[in-house]
Amino acid sequence: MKTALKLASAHFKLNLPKPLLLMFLMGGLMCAPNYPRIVVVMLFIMILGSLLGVTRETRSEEMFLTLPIKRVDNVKGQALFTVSIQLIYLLCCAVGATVALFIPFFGKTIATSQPGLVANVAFFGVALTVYGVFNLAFLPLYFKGGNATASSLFIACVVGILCAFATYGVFELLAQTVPQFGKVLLTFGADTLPWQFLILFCGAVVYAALTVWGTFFAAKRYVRGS
Amino acid sequence: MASGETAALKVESLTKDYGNFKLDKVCFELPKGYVMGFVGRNGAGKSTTLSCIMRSVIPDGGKVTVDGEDISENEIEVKRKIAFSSGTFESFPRAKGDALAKVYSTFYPSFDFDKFEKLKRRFSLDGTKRLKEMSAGMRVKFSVALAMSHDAKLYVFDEPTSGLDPVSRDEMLDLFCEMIEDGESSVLFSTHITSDLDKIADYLTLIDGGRIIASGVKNEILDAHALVSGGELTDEVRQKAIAYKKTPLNYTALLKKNDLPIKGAETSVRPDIEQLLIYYAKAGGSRE
Repeated sequence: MKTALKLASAHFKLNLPKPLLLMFLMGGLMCAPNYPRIVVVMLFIMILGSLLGVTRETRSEEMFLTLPIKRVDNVKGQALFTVSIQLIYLLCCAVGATVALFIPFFGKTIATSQPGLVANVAFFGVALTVYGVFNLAFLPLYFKGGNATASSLFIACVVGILCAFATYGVFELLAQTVPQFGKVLLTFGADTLPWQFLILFCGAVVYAALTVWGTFFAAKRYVRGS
Repeated sequence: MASGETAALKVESLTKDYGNFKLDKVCFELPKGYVMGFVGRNGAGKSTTLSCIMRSVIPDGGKVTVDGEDISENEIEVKRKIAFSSGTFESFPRAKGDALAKVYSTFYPSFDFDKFEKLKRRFSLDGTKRLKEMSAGMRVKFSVALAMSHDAKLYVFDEPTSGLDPVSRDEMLDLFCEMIEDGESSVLFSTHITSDLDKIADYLTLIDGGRIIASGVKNEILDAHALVSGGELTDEVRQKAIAYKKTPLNYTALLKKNDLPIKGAETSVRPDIEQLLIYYAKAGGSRE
């Protein structure tokens, strides 16, 4: 794990174009009125796609593989890098969502003006689950054929995003059709706060489990060869 | 190599099939304390072989041992004994040289910053520059300096002299010679600049079409061949030649020394590495 951490850190230190950091500000779109929050949450793909595009274009992964590491460390490092991007971006979204609570908008606040699930505590549990599904689909496809540089980053991103949106659709459906779910996911009520935290906790567990699972599948493919 | 002495690098039956290109049972051995030139034309399989050695590409079969240790069994420890530099070094263009060295040092416990600074001075490198701001030649030098700054026993360089001016190339070759002075370190470098090999290589491995054409002591390989020329291309020359070139008035053919004397040959000289490479490439490595 130590090597994977070093590799993830190396991705940030060596490959990250600094202007790209500004893209994390897209989390501020949580303050935009009438803008679906799930779209804001999924914008992380622009950061991840750009960074991995740079990594691939510069053949950095091949250079990493010549270092005294195991191939599996490279997959773990990439997974940690992906997780870091997602969590930092989600944190930016959380800041945006908090600010939105205090911006007045036609007698209410911006936080209550938006379509779909509201950005309460439970929403971030849903977002983590959606990210987990993305990782489960994305990582094995990115490392398909044992060589990340030869696989299709585009296909991996598209499939990952489609799976993630489908998962969100399930939550949206549950919120609209099951009243108990609707109460937790569509309101800011303080009485549902324990349930919101429970969903956040479950989301975090599911995120961790799916990411580990995705990394495992990716590593299995990658270690086999290129 | 003295019998019983462990080779610095031993490559046995290395294979890798990409469908449109195949590395076919590549075998060679580099004794400790020597420089081996790994030569072949573009697309011959030099970089693929080196990638397989470094395990950035997993071979379909074969074995690579460094100082007697199988790299596939103890990858991390064995790789720490290797200094690898890829010629063009296009990775991490946004990174500053010194920042890259810091990251590298976290993977090599024996990374020596003093040595790195000395090499930077020797190559006139500016570590505060981003790699994309360096010229191609500077990047190559930087890559070599980075690779050489940890305690390695085997130096593997992929086209380390490409993009360098003649003076820098000569400096680089001098450095290779210094590196093996201890008698324990060895250098394997791929190139298609055969004059570099004439200058410093003790051993030579020729590859073409993914197959090893010849591997061994440079002078023995060259001595085992003859470049003959004459007026009329006889059937005997056609049959025995590894490859030949013909003009309306005369011919030149590469033969194994064992096949001499040959009827119709007027002159016979020892070929140089470039001629060997050209004629074997012309033959597609089929006569070995």
